[in-house]
Amino acid sequence: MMAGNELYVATALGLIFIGLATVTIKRNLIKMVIGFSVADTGVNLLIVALGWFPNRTAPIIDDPSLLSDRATLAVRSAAIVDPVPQALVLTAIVIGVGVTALMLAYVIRLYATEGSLDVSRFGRMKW
Amino acid sequence: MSFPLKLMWSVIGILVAIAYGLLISGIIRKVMARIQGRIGPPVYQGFIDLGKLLVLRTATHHGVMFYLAPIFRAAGGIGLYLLIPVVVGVPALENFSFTGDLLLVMYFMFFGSLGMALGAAESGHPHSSIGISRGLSQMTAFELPFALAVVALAASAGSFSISDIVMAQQGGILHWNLFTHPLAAIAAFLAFLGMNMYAPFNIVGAPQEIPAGPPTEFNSSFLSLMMAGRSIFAVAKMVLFMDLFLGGATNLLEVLVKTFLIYFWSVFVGAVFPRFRTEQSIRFFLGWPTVAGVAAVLLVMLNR
Amino acid sequence: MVSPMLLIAVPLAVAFLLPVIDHLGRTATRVVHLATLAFGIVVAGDWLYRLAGGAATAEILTGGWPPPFGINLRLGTAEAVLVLLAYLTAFVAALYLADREEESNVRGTVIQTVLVVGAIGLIMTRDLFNTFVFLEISGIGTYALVVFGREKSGLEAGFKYMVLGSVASIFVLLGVAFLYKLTGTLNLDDMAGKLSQAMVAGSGLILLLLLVGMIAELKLFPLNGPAIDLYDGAEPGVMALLVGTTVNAVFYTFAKMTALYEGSQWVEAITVVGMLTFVIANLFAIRQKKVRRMLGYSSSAQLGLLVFLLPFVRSGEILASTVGLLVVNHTLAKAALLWLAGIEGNEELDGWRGAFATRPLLRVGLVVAVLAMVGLPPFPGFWGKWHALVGLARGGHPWWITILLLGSLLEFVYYFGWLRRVFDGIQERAEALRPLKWTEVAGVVGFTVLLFFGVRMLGEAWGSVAALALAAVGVVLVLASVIPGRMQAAVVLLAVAATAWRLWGTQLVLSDFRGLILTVVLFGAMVVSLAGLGLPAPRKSYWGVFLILVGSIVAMIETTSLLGFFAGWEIMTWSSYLLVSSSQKGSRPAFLYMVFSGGAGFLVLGGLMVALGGGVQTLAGLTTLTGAAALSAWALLAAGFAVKAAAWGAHIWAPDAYAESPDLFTPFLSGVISKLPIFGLGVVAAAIAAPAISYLGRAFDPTHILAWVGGLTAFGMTLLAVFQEDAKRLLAYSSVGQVGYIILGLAVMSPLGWTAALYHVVNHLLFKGLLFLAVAGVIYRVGSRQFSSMGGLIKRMPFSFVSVLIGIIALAGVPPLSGFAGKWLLYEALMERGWLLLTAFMMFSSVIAFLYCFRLIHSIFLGQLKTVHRDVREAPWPLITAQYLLVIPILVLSVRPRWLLDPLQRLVADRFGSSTLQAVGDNTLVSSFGYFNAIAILVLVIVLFVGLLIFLLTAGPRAKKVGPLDIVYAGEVPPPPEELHYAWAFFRPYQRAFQPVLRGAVSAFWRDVADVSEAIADAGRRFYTGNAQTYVLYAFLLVLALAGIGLAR
Repeated sequence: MMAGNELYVATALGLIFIGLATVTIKRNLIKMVIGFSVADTGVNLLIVALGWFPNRTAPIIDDPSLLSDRATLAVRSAAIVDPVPQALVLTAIVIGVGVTALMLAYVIRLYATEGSLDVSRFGRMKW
Repeated sequence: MSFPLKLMWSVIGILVAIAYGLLISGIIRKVMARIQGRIGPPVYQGFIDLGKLLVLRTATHHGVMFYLAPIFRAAGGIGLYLLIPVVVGVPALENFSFTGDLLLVMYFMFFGSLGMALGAAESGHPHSSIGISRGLSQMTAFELPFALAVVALAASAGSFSISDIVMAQQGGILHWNLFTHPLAAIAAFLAFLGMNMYAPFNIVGAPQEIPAGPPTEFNSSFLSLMMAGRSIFAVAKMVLFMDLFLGGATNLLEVLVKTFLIYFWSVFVGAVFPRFRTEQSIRFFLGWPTVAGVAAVLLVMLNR
Repeated sequence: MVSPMLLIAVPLAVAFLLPVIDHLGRTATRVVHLATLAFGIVVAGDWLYRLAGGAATAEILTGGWPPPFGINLRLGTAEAVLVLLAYLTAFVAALYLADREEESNVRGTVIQTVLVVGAIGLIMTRDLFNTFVFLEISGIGTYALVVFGREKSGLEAGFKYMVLGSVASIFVLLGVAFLYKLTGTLNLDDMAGKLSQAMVAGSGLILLLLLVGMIAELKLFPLNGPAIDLYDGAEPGVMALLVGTTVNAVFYTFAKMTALYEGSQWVEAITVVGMLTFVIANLFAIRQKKVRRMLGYSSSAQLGLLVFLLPFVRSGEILASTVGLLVVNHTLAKAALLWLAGIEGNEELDGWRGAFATRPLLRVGLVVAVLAMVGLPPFPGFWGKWHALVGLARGGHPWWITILLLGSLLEFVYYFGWLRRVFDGIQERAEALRPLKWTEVAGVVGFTVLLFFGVRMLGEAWGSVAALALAAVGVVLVLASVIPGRMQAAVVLLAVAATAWRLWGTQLVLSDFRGLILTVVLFGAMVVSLAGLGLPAPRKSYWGVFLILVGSIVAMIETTSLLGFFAGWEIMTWSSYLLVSSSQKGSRPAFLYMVFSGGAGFLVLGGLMVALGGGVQTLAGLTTLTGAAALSAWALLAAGFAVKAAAWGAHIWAPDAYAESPDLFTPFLSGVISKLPIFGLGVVAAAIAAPAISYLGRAFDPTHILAWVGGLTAFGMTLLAVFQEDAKRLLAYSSVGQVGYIILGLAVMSPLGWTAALYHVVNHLLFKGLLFLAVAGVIYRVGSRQFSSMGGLIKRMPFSFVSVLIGIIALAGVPPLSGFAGKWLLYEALMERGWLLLTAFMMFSSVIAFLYCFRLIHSIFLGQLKTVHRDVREAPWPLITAQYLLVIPILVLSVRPRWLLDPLQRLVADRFGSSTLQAVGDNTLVSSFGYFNAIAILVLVIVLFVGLLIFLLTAGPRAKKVGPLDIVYAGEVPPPPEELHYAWAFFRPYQRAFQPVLRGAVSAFWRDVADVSEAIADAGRRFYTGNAQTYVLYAFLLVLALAGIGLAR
């Protein structure tokens, strides 16, 4: 069903896996943040890849006359990739940036309290 | 039979029963003395004691309950006697048994003891309280085999009425519950030993430990009333056992013979055994007598 | 009508404007913030009002495109409720946080507003990607807000929460993306239709990713670790805000998503994960030592319960409004509890001893919130749970009901464990109390008041004006704590008397079971409140709660519906719990009382659910049950009532609860409350014709079991009563034992047995009330409950002595007082039924009662008077009056038992036909086994007594009264009275003889149950290691596990 975009999908899944593995395995807080970043990138790539079809153009209306010519627009729209994922990714990237920034802020303040970046040092609350 | 006449017969019955009770206790003291190699007091010693106590010139008491205790005791004894038919079928000797059945009798047995216990406790003497504690403990213990026996008898007779139970035993010595319900009889007669409080169950007034037990503080006319109450109480119990197990009686002579035999059962045992400790006594009644009682009840249930 | 879009747009705009406004000063920021939230409340409230009035659901189309092309938002009733709740919480939370520097500065205020926007967006949107965006907004808001104020713990908790939250959002986003790919739409409603049309290959895995992501967002087991840390670490005020906004919003989001799961293999997974969360989180919570962490577990559990119900809502078995009730209940109660936790400030559970002792309003708030949390009426949670259970019962899910009730019982354990500590230590705490601002208290008060909207449903369920009026006066009294205690007692007396007067002749008649019990209740309440004129009230709210209790009992007796009955039962339970807990040492026994009563309540509830599942609605309809349903309903109900009656095996709660209750309450607890399980057995359980159990080919009547339980209770409790050293404990055991006789009487299931049982109900109320009141007077004067510190008081308190004397004679069943008739009836009934061994066994145990009766009167009143008690006065007159109010009926019953027996016979005849009991002449009672004449025996005794008294007064010398130490003492001077009074270990030899059966096997059993569950909880909660990476790992493992199970099917 996803003819032609397997490479992208595989890459994206690989990135997600690497990212989440980093989050799970690496004890360093900074590396965990990087892991999230990588995974986010993977997800974003995946979304774009899912909306991509070979041999189609970008979903951009390059001719103003198309706006009035509904019939042509319908034909042309079959030849473009799905615009929705691209729009989504835009939002997702923004959110990703925000989260990453907040996470880094956390890391800085966590470091200030314990003087360490080891995640296992921050497990006082448990059970 | 008219009510005043019945009343008169009852009063006579009460007086005779008290006298009989005093006499029988005299006999026992004599028997015990002979067994122990003493001469012992005369058999009419009870009457002497009673008379002496009545004419004593000083009397002391410790309060209202103390004052009422002998009354409770005597009323309990006399009332119990009046609730039991001595000779079923002879109105003069059926007393006031129309008042209630065996259940009433069983509960009325406690009336005197509990009332006296209250008065004795007011005296403030520790020996009284200790004696009461022991007495109550033992009383509950022998109640279990006794209750089992009573239930067995009542269930097979189909009634709690003492008269009905007596009537169910008519027709020869082998119809007595003693023989038709031997296990119930064993349970009840073992319980009877406890009721009479002779050795080995004489823990209430255990002479070497708490000299007289509950009556320690009672004197003069108080004590005389208690003696009288105790005598008639003993007689009433014997009559009850006679009604329950020995087929009742048809005349007064039979009553005398049967009750004497019943009473001597506990005297024989008492002459032979030393005293139990309180918990030993309790355990005894909850042991084999209870087993016999349960077996008796189960037998009745199976024979339905 | 204001556009619902503004509900999102306005706060969003304000959030961005606030930093600008802040230049005008902090006050301006606050005013604008609060005004925005107030605007939201008004708009949402207006919408809710219109929607409830039948207005059409509002659909908002963004950009003018209809769905599925444009993003649309919706505002229906459910959304309006949640939005209103979010704004309300945010408003009160803003007030609460106003004085905390960090949270109320401009950054904090902005984030608070953003959280509201996120929540409302989540609630209203119908678009999946939009959902994701709002989820992230809420998430970021949460991460940012939790660090404020609590630097260290907030940081740690926030970070962990953020790590798992980010993983969850990756899962959610992946799920959304793939779903879009699969269906070509992002509109939820559109997608659900397309998914169900073709369950495309691969959709299972995609839905799983989304599910796991949502499980983490919803804080369900096993991914609830960081969320619990958050409760532990963050400022409680912030958590309260989250509960009202984000938590509800995420839940509603998931509720919308359940449409996607319809028909998929994950529906069961949702149910199981939800219920697992409910049970496990509640289980782990019982071992928490920190208040806020415990609340965290509780929140997780509640979310679990809500999620568990969602699939049943989809299938139509449970109404959405039922879940709504639970959501509203949880929000209001949990937020109030969190604010209270913040005000109190103590993190350790043990630090809460005596909390709010001087702040009655907050204490009332705490109690109300806890009652609402555990789902007790009249609060909305109760109605929610009830309807949910009814849905499950009708749908045929008995096992889910069982597990749900077990989980609820665990909830009882830790919530009332918390209250136990609060009630512990009546004395105020040493440290100076921080002055409180009204802004801090507003939330607690407001939300507590809102919780009372459940009263509306209570009114419908009860339909009893008298009961509601009594309860309402009770609530007023609770709030009007300035009125002195004795005056409150007078109000209670008047209120109860007015009720009795109003119901006289209509409901208050002896010839009907309800009427009889109602008479017992109202009479008992009047006697106790009369006694209250003479004793200080144990707590300021005591009499108010007492009236609520009386009201609930009246309702329970009058109602005809199962729901009304159970609502009354539960209110009775909690109000009596509060009364028990109101004495000095009452908190611990009250806790045990509540846990066992809770268990009993759930057993009863289970039984009622079986009945409801069988289509029964009313109490009268119970008779229509047949077969297995009848048996299980009967068994559950009988077991529940037996536990509440403290039958042997479940009796361990009773002695302490009775003994440590306020002296004013014990008579009521023993005389009246202990009769309510009997009412239950009589009206509810006995209505069901329990079919015989066939076992090994033999039919076996299940009432046998009940009979032996009753018998064992009577025997065991009587025996234990003998060895008590404490007057109230002795009477406590005695009470439970007496209830055993009553249970046994009912179990005979014959007219005579029921007559015996009901006669004993009345008689027990009279003599046990009398004894407890008399003992209360003694305790009040002497200041101790120990036998060893009393003695000889007959000379100082003669009236009390006479009360006790009459009480014990009636109790012991010795003729000529009323007790004998009860014993006689019971034995006759047992003999008729052919239960011979039980008859003898009961004779034995009723004789054992003599031992403790004697001990009671001897140790207190007889023997030697202690030197310190030489000047003790008689009990206060109201107490004596109350006692003699009970003495009179005892004497009347002794003379003429028929005055009670005749109406009892008539009412029993309705159920069983006429009994074998007959009256011959005027006074002789005759049954098939025996006879007795109450008047004859009384006359006999009186004649003998008077005659002998005259003899004693006239014969012999006039007796001289001597002093207490004038005793025969072997010629020596007696020691002081303290050493002469034989009261301690009075029946030691008896105890030795019974040693083998006194090993305390039952309490050991319950201790083991408690230990084992605590050990499981202790071992289990180590699952939450505290390490962020472990929690991430759990998420992956959950995916694998669910995939393994789900895809294998």
